[in-house]
Amino acid sequence: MAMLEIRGVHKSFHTYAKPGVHPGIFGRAPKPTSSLDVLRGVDLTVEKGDVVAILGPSGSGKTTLLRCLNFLETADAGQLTFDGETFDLAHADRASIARLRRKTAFVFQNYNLFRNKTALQNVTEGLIVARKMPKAEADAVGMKMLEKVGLADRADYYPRQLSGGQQQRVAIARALASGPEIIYFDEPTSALDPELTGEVLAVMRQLAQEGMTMLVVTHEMGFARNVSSRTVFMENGVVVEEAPSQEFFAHPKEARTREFLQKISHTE
Amino acid sequence: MLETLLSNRTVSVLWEALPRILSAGLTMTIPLTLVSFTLAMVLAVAVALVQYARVPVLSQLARFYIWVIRGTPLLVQLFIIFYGLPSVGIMLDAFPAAVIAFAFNEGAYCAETMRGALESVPQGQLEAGYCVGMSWWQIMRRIVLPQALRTAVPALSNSLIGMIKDTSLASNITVAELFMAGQRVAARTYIFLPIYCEVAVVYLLFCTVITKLQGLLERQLNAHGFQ
Repeated sequence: MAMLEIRGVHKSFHTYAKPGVHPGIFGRAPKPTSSLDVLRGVDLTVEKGDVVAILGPSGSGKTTLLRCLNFLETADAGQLTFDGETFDLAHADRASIARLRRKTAFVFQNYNLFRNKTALQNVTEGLIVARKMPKAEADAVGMKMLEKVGLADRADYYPRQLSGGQQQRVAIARALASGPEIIYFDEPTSALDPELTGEVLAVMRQLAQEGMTMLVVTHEMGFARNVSSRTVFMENGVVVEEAPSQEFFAHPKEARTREFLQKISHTE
Repeated sequence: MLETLLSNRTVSVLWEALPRILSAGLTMTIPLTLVSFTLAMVLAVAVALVQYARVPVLSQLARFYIWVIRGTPLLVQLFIIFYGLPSVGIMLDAFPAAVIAFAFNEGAYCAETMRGALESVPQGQLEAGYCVGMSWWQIMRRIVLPQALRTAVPALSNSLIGMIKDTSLASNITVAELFMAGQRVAARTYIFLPIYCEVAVVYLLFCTVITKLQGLLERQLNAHGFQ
């Protein structure tokens, strides 16, 4: 059985004539002046140990899809089955959202480290506060995770004292700390220069080799081709093509995929 | 002219008045400020949070409260509470009446400061908290509020310094604070300019201490990652 199965995810964003408008308690929901269908029925299956790369041009809905899977956005429709339990992406209650989030972790494009916490505290915060782990035990886990990403010597540094690459590695350590079954990566290297990108990708490659299940939205063709086991190409809110990575890059089936890969190869 | 201003008599009156003015400051102005400001901060954080979280009804009430308080003079608020409320059967001593007026008044202004500071904390901090399994309230308490308070320190220090001086209005409702102590000496001795200057200098002294403390606090916070 697949570890993660998503079916029919739809999501639209609405803009309103008046900025910041939201329905008051007695007010009706305001009518949107324009709507954008970002996800138009996305299906995806991830097996345990899979490293799935999601490629696609800007605005194709990759990031929104990932955010819907962890309820950072509420989808308009869609189903997610995780470890045999099915969640309604449009109407999940708080308890099931919390239950799902306990099994997953998320790495953001701009790291989102807690700015008022040290590297170690960033890793242990969720363990101590959300999982009620004793501090000493959490610190031990935290140090182990920082070691894993090569930053044990930066444990007491605050995020602003770290480079972008180091911050992202702390964020990966934070994601690992809770022992997730899958980690979602949202363009983890897009805010980094090539040198720092390398150190983050190295950590992700190591995780892949250790068998961590990962769903990675990325623009790093090298990572998709060489590290990910499967590659998904999205455009205009739908999955255009999906295949084992070797095959995807060697023999893309869809014309649109070929065009995209060609464009990318010019810039690389 | 300087001779008459600083005659022997004036100097001795100023000298004798100093302990009275200082002690009124230390026993009334400072406690009144600290108690009122503490309550104001509690109120401000609560009022800012219900708006930040868009709690229905409560956030509308918060807007109404801020609208009324900011739109009416502090002196009028003091008079309503101390002289007005007894006619509907609510009798308050001068000090508690002043505390209520100052706390509610300052609370409205600080609530706006706090709301702005809360909204300046990037949304990503909340999202990261959710993703490591924290609840909204845990994220507020441990991540967002500490960061917001740090942002708000300069503006809140402004409010605190403003409040020290505003407590002089409490003399109008019979609170024997710093300004009233000076007023009494002036009325008794007919020495106005030097006494009121002395009063001003004591306020300046208090505010200087607060300003120094603000600098110290900011340096401490910066050393602990709040920047």
